[in-house]
Amino acid sequence: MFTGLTHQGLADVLAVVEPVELKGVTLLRQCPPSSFFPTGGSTAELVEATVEIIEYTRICEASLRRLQGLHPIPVTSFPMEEYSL
Amino acid sequence: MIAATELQTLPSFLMGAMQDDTRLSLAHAAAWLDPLRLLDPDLVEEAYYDGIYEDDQDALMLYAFSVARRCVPEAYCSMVAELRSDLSFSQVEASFCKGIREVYPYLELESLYDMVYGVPLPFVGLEVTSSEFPGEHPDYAAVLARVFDLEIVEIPATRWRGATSAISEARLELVQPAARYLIKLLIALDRQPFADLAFLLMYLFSCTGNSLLDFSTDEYWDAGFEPLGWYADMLQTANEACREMVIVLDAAERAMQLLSEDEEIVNALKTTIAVLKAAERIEDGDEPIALQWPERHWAGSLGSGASGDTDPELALAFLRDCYVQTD
Repeated sequence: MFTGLTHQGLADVLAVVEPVELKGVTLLRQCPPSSFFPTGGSTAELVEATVEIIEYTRICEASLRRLQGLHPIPVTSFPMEEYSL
Repeated sequence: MIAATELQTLPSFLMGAMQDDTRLSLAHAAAWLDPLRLLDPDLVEEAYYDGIYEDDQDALMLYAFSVARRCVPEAYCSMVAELRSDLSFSQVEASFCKGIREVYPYLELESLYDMVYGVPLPFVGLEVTSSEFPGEHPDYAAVLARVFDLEIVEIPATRWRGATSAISEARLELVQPAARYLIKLLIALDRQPFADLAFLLMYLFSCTGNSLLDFSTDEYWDAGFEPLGWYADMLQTANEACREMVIVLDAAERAMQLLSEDEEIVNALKTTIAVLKAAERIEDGDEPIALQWPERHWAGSLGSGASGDTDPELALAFLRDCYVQTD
């Protein structure tokens, strides 16, 4: 059961999240800098990259909606001196 | 002032900077692969229906892109690639229809205008008691007359329509229980050509369980069913229903050919039907009625008269999968 999370715990969790390697971004990196979009490449690769980015952005949007639905939690133990009045 | 050579190198510099930034790289990839991401599918669909009446081809094309994005990523991908070379309406239409056919080979879509009717569904059900039936399907009418004594009779005029000639609805209802029982017996034989015969009878008596085969176009829409929406699961379901429809129609065609060539089979069916009709009431718990088939090595009949895309083995396998009762 989830009983709470410290800011350090959250930072630790986020620190070990693996970066996502999106096929579309990889293909863009392989593209010569003179062209804005890659040309050529196999159809299968493009389809895979397209399906992946549609799904990835869908998950991101869903996560954003869930985050927006969270109730605010007052943070009392975290000093934020730069905003002190 | 920037020199011309600096201007020429600027795109490369900007591209490099974009690739170094994770968020910009993601935005770049999304703009490249999924330019429709920010469009609201519901608004696109709404614009499509307005576009149909106003002949707004841009709205129609946008809807095709939106559906392709949702249901056929392969088509969406190639359509987006083609979009950069200034596609015309007819090219988008051809590309979309081709993309649909490649993934769902049994669905036939010819025009973006037809998308308004939902996922394309070919209803081929028979209305055996309609006055058009004998003229439209003389072969099937002949089988119903020969095997089931369902002759074309004069139907007197009523308040709503004039006199006509057709198969009597009352007589059809009388024959139906026997026909359904005969279908069960044919299925239980679990081999060809009986599977083909079972499919023919299921088709003639509209009891395949597949709406495409059991309803005519008019019957389906008159029943108030909604069109199938353009979603991947609907396309998948419709494609599967069409595939099954092809198997059954091919089987029915083979059975029709068998009946036209083999008088013994026709007589066996007639005899069984006579026995079943004489039984008056056929209940599930009754003693099974045996079919009186001519003594013959039936395996030799496999494939006789096959002219469609599917073969008798496939029909038999489909019958076992979907129609044999396991309880």
